[in-house]
Parts: sequence; C-alpha cells; structure tokens
Amino acid sequence: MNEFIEAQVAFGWEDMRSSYDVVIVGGGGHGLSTAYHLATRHGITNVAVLERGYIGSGNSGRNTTIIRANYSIPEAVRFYQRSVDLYSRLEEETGRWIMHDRKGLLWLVHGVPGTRNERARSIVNQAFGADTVYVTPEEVGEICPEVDLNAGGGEYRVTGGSYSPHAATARHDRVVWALAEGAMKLGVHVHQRTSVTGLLKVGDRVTGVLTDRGPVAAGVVVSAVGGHVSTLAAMAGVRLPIRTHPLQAYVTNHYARSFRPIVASAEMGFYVSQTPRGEMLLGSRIDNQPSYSYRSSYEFLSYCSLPAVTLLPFLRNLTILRQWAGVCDMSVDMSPIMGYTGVEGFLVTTGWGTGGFKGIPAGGEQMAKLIATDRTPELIAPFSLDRFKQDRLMFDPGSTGTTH
Amino acid sequence: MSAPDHFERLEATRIVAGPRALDEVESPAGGHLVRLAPDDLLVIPPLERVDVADRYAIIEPESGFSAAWFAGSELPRLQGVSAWEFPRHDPAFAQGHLAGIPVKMLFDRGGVRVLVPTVLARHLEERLGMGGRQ
Amino acid sequence: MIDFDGTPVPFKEGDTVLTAVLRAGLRPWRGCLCAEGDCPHCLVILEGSSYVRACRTPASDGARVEPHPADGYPPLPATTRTPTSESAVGFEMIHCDTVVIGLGRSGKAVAAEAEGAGRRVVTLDAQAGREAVGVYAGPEVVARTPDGMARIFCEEVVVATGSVEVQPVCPGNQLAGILTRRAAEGLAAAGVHLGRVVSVGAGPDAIDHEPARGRLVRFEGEGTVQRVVTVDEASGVERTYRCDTAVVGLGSGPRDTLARMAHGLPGVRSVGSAAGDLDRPPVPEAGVVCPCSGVVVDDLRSVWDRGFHELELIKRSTLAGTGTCQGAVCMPHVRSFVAAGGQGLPPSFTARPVVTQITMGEAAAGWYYQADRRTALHEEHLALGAVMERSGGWLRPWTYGDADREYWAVRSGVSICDVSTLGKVLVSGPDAEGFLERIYPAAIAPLRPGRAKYVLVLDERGYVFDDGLVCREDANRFLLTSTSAGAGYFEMWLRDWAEGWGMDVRILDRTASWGAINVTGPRSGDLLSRLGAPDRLPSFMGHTDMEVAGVACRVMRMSFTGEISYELHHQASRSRELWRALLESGADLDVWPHGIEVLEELRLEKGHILVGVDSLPDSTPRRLGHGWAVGMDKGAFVGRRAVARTSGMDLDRLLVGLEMDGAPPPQGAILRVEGAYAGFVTSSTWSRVLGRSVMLAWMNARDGGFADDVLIEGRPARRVAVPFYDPEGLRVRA
Repeated sequence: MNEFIEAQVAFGWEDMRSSYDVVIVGGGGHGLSTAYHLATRHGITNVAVLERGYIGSGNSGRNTTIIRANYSIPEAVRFYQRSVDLYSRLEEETGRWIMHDRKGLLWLVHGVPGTRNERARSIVNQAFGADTVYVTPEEVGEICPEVDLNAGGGEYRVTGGSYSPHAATARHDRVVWALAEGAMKLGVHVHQRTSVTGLLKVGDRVTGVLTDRGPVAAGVVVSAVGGHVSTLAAMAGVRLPIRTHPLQAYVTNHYARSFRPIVASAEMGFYVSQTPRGEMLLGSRIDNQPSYSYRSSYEFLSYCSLPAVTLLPFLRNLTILRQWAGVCDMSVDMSPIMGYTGVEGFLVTTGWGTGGFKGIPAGGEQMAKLIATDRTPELIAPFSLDRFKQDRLMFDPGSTGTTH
Repeated sequence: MSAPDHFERLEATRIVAGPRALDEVESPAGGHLVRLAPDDLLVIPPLERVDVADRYAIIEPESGFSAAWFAGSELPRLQGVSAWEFPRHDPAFAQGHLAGIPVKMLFDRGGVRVLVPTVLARHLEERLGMGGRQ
Repeated sequence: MIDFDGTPVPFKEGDTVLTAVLRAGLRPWRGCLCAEGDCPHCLVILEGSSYVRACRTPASDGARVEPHPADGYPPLPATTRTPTSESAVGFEMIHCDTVVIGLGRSGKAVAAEAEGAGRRVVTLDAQAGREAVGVYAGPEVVARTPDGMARIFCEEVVVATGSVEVQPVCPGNQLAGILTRRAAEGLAAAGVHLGRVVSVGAGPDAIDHEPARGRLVRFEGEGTVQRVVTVDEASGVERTYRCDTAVVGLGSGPRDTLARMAHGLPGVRSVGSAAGDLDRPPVPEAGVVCPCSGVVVDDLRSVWDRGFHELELIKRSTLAGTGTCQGAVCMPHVRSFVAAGGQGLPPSFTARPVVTQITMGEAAAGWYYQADRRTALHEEHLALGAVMERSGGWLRPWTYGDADREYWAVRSGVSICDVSTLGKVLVSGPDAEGFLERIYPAAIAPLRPGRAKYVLVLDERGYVFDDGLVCREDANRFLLTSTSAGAGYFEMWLRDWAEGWGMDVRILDRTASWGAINVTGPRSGDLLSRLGAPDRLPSFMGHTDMEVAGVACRVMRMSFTGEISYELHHQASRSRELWRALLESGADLDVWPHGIEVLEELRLEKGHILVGVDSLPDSTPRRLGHGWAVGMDKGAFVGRRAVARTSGMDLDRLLVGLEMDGAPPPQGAILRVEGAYAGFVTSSTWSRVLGRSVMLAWMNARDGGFADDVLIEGRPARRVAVPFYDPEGLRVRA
C-alpha cells in the first residue's frame, strides 16, 4: 500500500442547471478556490465551475508546487503572505491531506548586486509580514550543507542569499481536489468536459455562457481560465495585457527523503526541491517565446541541469524521470489581475504568471469576497485591471518569471 | 597546423551602407569580402582606401573579432558542437552559434576560418579545448 | 566477476547484469521480468547510481551492483562538495536525414531503404547501447550512446521500437521467477536455467514447458513463484501447476511512448509493431497493477467509487503510471479498468520525455555557463589585483582592493576606469536626425556637430528603459551610447524602429569593437595633455577625434563621476597600449584606476541615476525627476502619447535624494513617515567627501505631496535636492 494514494476525497457530480448565480469558467485551483470560498465564507452555493478537461488539468496540475511570499513589493508580499497563511490552515479546514510541508526556501546569489537585492528583499518581506531573512554564505552552508559554496570552481561562488522559513510545498492535485470536494459538499456544481464556446450578453452586460452542452445563465461570470484567457475575455470585449509563455519542469526518480529546503538561484536559473514522494523537482525561467504549447524541449533539461549539478553536486547521478510544460499568463507587470473588467457581469482572475499555485487560497478568498460584497477587497485593490489605465503598475523584481 | 591553440585578433574594415553600394565593393587582393547582412560588409584584410557609392556609408576599422583557421580534419569536431548543419560545399559563409558562442564561419579550401567576437573568444577557446595563447 | 550485493557473479561475453545474475542462480528481483527495459523490476544500484536496469547494463569485470532496497526508495547520493569539473560526459550534435529508432525487422528494413535512397541515416538500438531518450520538435532525437549524449537533428524520425509484452495482473504477480515469454526465450538461449516451466497464455518457443490451461487466477509461492493457479471458465474449477518459473504470454501492445511523445510533430512516424494495436488485457480483478507506485486493483476501485472517473484523475490520485516505468506495465490494465466503467477504452496517458532515464549530469553535458564578455583590459585588471564581478553580461573590475585610494584618485587627482562595456552605436544617413528625434524624447535637431547631449530612452508606455548620450558628428551622423547592460537591446530597438518607420539610416554597433577608458579627476587634463594635444581637448559635453598616446581616439568630455572626465573611445585592439600609457605617464600624478564599486559611489554623490538600479520598469521621466529630459514641444517620439496621458495624472511616487547622518542604510531600506510606509532606498553610500550618507529613494506621495523628513531604520533622513556634491557643476566644467 502506497501512503500517497488519495484515500479520502469523494466527488459528487451533479447534472447541469440552466442557471446559476455565479458561473466560474475554469476548473483549476483559482476557479475552484473561488467557488470554495463563495460557499464556505459567504453561503453562496448556487455556483457552477465549468472545466473543459478534468479538474486541475491545466496549470494547476503542471506547476512546481512552491508556496512562498518572498516577493519584492509590499502589495505582493502582503497578498502572498495571506496565501501562505491560508495554505498552512487548509488541511485542518478541509480535513484533507494536501501534503503541505513547510520546508523553507533558500534563494542564493553569486555576486555583490545579487547580495544587495536579497538584503532588500528581506527588508520589505519583514516589513509586510513575511519572515525572510538575509543569510551569509556560512549560514547557507548550515541550512543546506549540500550546497557547494564555491560552485563552478568559484565562478558561481555563493555570496549570500535570503532564507524564507515560511516557504512550503503542497501536492498540487490534492489542493485542487480538496477545494473541489469542499465546494461540492456545500452544493457547488463542478462540470468537467464542458467547454465554454461563447458568452451570453444583453447589451454590454454578460448574462451567462454558451457551452458545448448548451447555454447557462449566470448572475456573474468569472474567468478563471489559464492559457486562453485572452480569447475568453475578448468575447466579453475586454482586452487583457497578457502574453502566454510556456514554463517547463522535470522530476527525477524517487529517492528516500533527505533534502530539506527549496533551493533557488535566479542568477544561475534554476530551483529545486524534493517532493513528499521523494522526486527531485526542478524548474527554471519561463520560455522566451510566447506559446500555448505544452511541449517540452531537451534544451530545458540541459540548461536546468547544468546549474543544478554545479550548485548541488550530489544531484549529478540522479536519474531524470519525466519532464513537462505548463503555460504562464504573463501580464505586462508580471503581477496578477483580479476583479472587475469594466464589463458588467464579467470578472477575471488571471495574469498569474509564475505565481498561480501560490496564490490559489488567497486569490479565491479575495475573489469570493469581491463577488459576495460587490466591492474590491483592499488586499487585491492594487491588482485590479484598471491599474494599467491608471499607470499604477505592480512591477515586482521578485516575480519576473525567472525563478518561482 | 590542423588544430589552432587560440584565436588571434583580426584587423578588418567594416562597411555599413546601402546594399547596392556594397555590391560594388571590390575584394582586396588575396582577401575576403564577407557580407554579414545586406547592408553590412566585412573586408579582410583592412582596406587602405575605400570607394563606396554611398555618401552616408559607415566605414570603420574593425578590430572586434578574433579568428582562427581550422583544417578540414577539424570540421567534424566543430560540427559536433553546432546545432545547425554546416554548408556542404565551399567557399561558403555562415553565421550561427558554435558551442553556444556566436561565430561567423568562412568555409574555404576544405577548412574553415572561424571569427568570434573578441570579448567572447576566451570562452570559445575553452569550449573547443584549445590550449590558449602561450 | 561482477560483485552483486557481495556475491561474486561470473559472466560471459555479451551478458547483461540480469543474465549473469540469473544464470548464477540468484533471484533478487520480484515481479514479472521483461528483460527488455520496459518493466521496473530489475532495477539495481550500479556504482552508487540507482535506477539502473540490470537488463540494459552490460556485465563488466569488477562492477559493483546491488539491488534496490526492498522497501522504500534508494537514498540520495552522499552529500559531496567536491567541485564539479567540466562534465566528463561525452556530447555530440549530429545532423542527418533519417533517424531510425529500433533495429528489429521493421527498423532494419526502413534504414536499408533510406540508405538505398541516398539518405544519411542514424540508427538507434537500445540493445546495442544506443538508446533514444526523447523525440522533440525539429524533429530532434536525443540519444544516449556509449560515447555520451547525442542530439540528432534530422528531417525524419522512424519509430520502430517494436512491442511491449503485457504483464500479468493478479495476486502473486510480484513474486520472483515470473518471466514474459520473450524474456524467457532470451534468457534460456543465454543459458539461464529456468527449472520447471509453466506457461500461461502463448507458450515460449524452444523451452520445455507445461501449458497452464484456463484463465490465470494467481501465482503462489514464498518469495518465489512455486505454483500457477488457473480457473476453468466453464466449470469454475481451479487448477494448480507446480513450477520453478512461470512464463506469461499475454500478448503485447505497441512500444509507442516515443511516438506518443512526438504526437503532432511533423516528420515522425511509426512502423511495424510499434504502430500496432494493443492486445487489450482483461479487466484486472486483483493484484498489483502498478508496481512502481505500489497500486493494487482495489485502489483503482476505491478512487473510482469516489468520483475519479477520468484516466488522468485515476493516474493522479493513485499515482499509477507515474513511477520509473512511466506506465509501461500498468497502462494497458488501467485503460481496461476505465473502459469497464462504461466510457470506452480511453487513449493512453500523454507521453512525456524521457523514455530512457539519463542522469542530471548527462543532461547537463553540452551546455555551458553564461559566457560573460571580457573587455580587452581584462588581463590588465587582474594584473592590478582587481576583484571581478558579473555585471550586465560582462566581467568588470569591482575594486582594485583599496576603495579609499580609488575614490580620492578621482576626487583629488586623476583616475582611469574601463568603460568599454558602454553601449556604442553609430547612426548615419539622410534620415539620421529625424530618426533620432523619434527615438528620443529630447530635441536632437538643435545639437551641433561636436556636441553631446544626455538622453533618456522610453518605451511605448513612456517608461524609461535606458539612458545615454547622443554625440553629433556631422549633419547626418551620430554616435549614441547606452548602458552596458542594455546595449544589446538598445541596438535591436534602433533597428526595429528604423525598419518599421522605413528610415534611410545605417546602423553599426561598436560596443564590442571599441574600447573606452574614462580619464577623470581634476588632473585628468594634465594627464591627457602629456599624451595628446592640449589645445584640442573638448569643452564640457563636447567631443572630438584626436590621438592620445599615439592611439586614435574619440574623446568625449562628459561626467558621471562629478569631476572633469574624458572618455577615450578607441579600437579595442589598442586598449591595453592606451591603458598602460595612461598609467605610466600619470605615475607621478598618482594615477590609479577605480572599479565599479567606487564609480557607483561617485555617481550617487552627483545624483546620477543608474537605470535598472534606481529606476523601476514603470519609471516615467517625471517619476525619476527627469521631466526636463522630455521635450513635449517637439514632434512625435516613442512614448510621447503615454507621457502626455500620464503627465496629467497625480504624481504617485518620485525618485528623491535623501541624506542622513551616520552609516548608510542598505539598499531596500524602508522610508517611514509617521510610522507609515513611504518608500524605499534604491542606492545609498557614505559620502567620503561630504561626511554624511546620501541616497536615492522612491518616495510615495502623501496627501498629494512628498515629505521632507522621513525615518529610515528609525533614524531621521532629509529630502534634499540632487546633486549632493557640487550642485552647481563647477567641477565638471572647470
């Protein structure tokens, strides 16, 4: 018996109604989290989540499962720290094991400019509720003895870094299932294999969706789509400042668990953690070329492996099991876009870039609050779509798509 | 001398001008005209005097490249670190990456002259296992 | 001899580890062995590397082999800090027309035909140690060969990988001593003694065996299979067959992982049994279905009953198919299971690379660290004891070891600095002036030949992404400079716009071809006068061509340091000669170079911004306090509409100068006004010449204005006008 086999979650599938108070397009983490929070926090349960494939089949099931709040601008630190806190309570709240594991994140740098940046990161983190601290090379060696502090024969010597004890990982699929089950238990409908093909409109107002299983009326339509969000938004007449780029990852075979922290080096271009099942999970920056493709490249294996075996030489003889790709919706300032669109009846939660998984609990919580109260909560006000018109961008050097 | 041990700084003339004006530039005796782009010409060795039928032409001494000659016996090794296929006949000119470094390659007489930006020459020497200047 | 878990095992030429160990009478592996690299049952640890398939490993003398731990996963390799030398793994890129993967009958035929047609063919054959790792777009085939890793670029890929035998799923299927039919035939031919053989399904050729009749129910035995139990479907009577080895011939399916991985890629096709159909196994009833993840049939039922009705959801919830064999064993059975649920036979899982597991070290082969550029003065810096830092794609001298000496050489004597990394672009043509008018937000037309101007570079959104100088040479020709880190992008930017606007200009990037040395300090003129023509030195913001120490230079008089400065741009081939001449000739002036660390202090005292350090990606000129660098009274330029639009909005934040007593706070230190967050420090330094700390910082607006007094790390700081040092600019013009 494998302890990692899902033994608790039970879904209750229902037939589709012709009308819901809220229709959420996209059965990934954000769509399901919004539904879950609508039901659990606000008693709004006449809700449908429509999913083109199976739940979690998009980027929710393709990411590298890292939860952290060590961003570089106050607005992002606060938002993601909220998500970190919600994640740490999600198992207790749902009664489901999501394999949440607080392992700490070591973010390494290899030169003076990087060292200054990590010091700055720790300052803004601490000021806005995240526990990131600046660490010296000696402290790096204590936290992670596997790191070669003189990596690459000195070419990539470790000059310091930041350490975020709050950072954690959780099993992506289980987060999706716990939220789906929790929402369904309270009456939310989740419909798999249901494609949205158009929007129902009265004048400029969105009043529902057209699906390949017929029209569905809705008080509010929320786009929680990943990848093709621009297509859906265009149906509502909303232009989104988003480009979609692939993001690749790979895992090794399974090894007895002994590697504790998440280790990242943005300068070298990779990050690594050991999963609860024992695979070493590696990722790097987003692909340069925008694309919706889920195709992997061999170059990725090479450019991700070289720095990894340089900084952590024990990785050299581990065998690679599988690589895959997801896609990231990158907004022009690399920060998410949540809330009103200017089109009545149509909301978005998008632009999650490389932070989608991290933001699932807080993103859903805040979107639900917005829907329930019809007011933008203060925590996500900085991430509204109209910031692009207002010239109030949320550029965050800590989320530039280099390392996640 | 099949395997060079280093790249040597190359002196040349660089001419950026209208394509038709560049078509008319004559090759120096025993030298090469290397058309880097329709409006960009590298002349090896450098020209003493240049006639270009473009009054706005930019004509500059070019010392930003280093070069080395690899005999034909070295070509398979170079091809083995190139993601693009070398031309099958010479003379030919190609630009691309060799061992991850941008190069210009002049295939001639069975071998190839490799031009690399001098600022990156050391990396290419290391990656091609060249001994380096003594 | 092989050392197998402490036991010496002899081997014959051509043996794999699997063959040698089984011939020696050992039975260390549980589960049905396929001996063809598909199943996960014969994994060993070879010389410390785990997840090695014994059936794919040639036996070699002295090899140390141990089985995987019976329970749990192998350990991570011992921690080592041994510096990694360059990868010892071989690597080659190969170009050909056709790659044939698999050299069975179909593969050989295709390869022969392609060769006959004059195509260049590369063949891969796992049995010969040439294993395909993956098929990628291109098409590109990655392979591991005895020589190392190979990336093969081709026009056509033919997948001729044959078939995979279906494994038995029933109670007892994880006992040792069970072989697939082909495994049994191969091992018997290699001289492995199989003892009493009972066959299930299609029997093996050339092996004495007793066929078991009826449907397979279970295997029985203690660790090793001793009995095969079947049932007669008609009567329901069970029958038991005693055996030493059970051989199963349950049919096969296509070995199509590579083909599925390449699904949708042009140029990839399958032939032979790799393109064949699956002999769909019966719906599994009991037993281990996924040996890698330890999934039994009851687990499939459990998740199904709880609503996991998609093949992918079953995979993700039970983890069947996510282990080391990537579903080779379990997938036919799981598909049968799902089909029994009434949805028809679902397509196979998506196939992802890799099909042959390579080590991370092998994957790293053929890749390189970032190639940091070196200026022509690299060796000179090292000879002077410089500590080099990576900066904007270059290696630059951070310090020569004595910041005080470097600093005061600039402020009170003369110093030199290698600024070869600056972006340098020549633009010439009848449209040159008009082109630059549209590129830059500042007026270019009034600039006279021989004069230079500081300029910002804006993107379409009106945000500053670079800055530099425009030097006018004549009516139609200009030299532009940009930041070191931005040079590559800047050149592309110019070319894109020139093309887009149809401008008649010629553009030549000189960044890597020209060296540049900044000679700076109150005595800089003295030093240059010894090496050049004093009466021809340009005035502030002027430039001229002249020889310095016999080297042809473009001399640009500007200042980033706050002292008189002459930038000497020259052919990079002459940099060392010029550098040495400056040091030698200025020895009695105590000339000494300064590095980037001190340069950043010097420029900060002058309040000069560093784009990318002090600016953010959404910094408008107004936010940077550089509104003066934008001429809204001129015509169109990139970013003009955005600047016009945003200039009407409230200013929400501003880059300000701050000073305070005591030590400088770190970059990133937070500004507070009445306890509230009010911004952060972007650059800070202790000013040696002013005797206090000076900073640039982003300050948020508060009630429409900007505070004069803030607290930083609990200490008071004052907002002051920049420059901090020599605000009238008397020194640079002297």
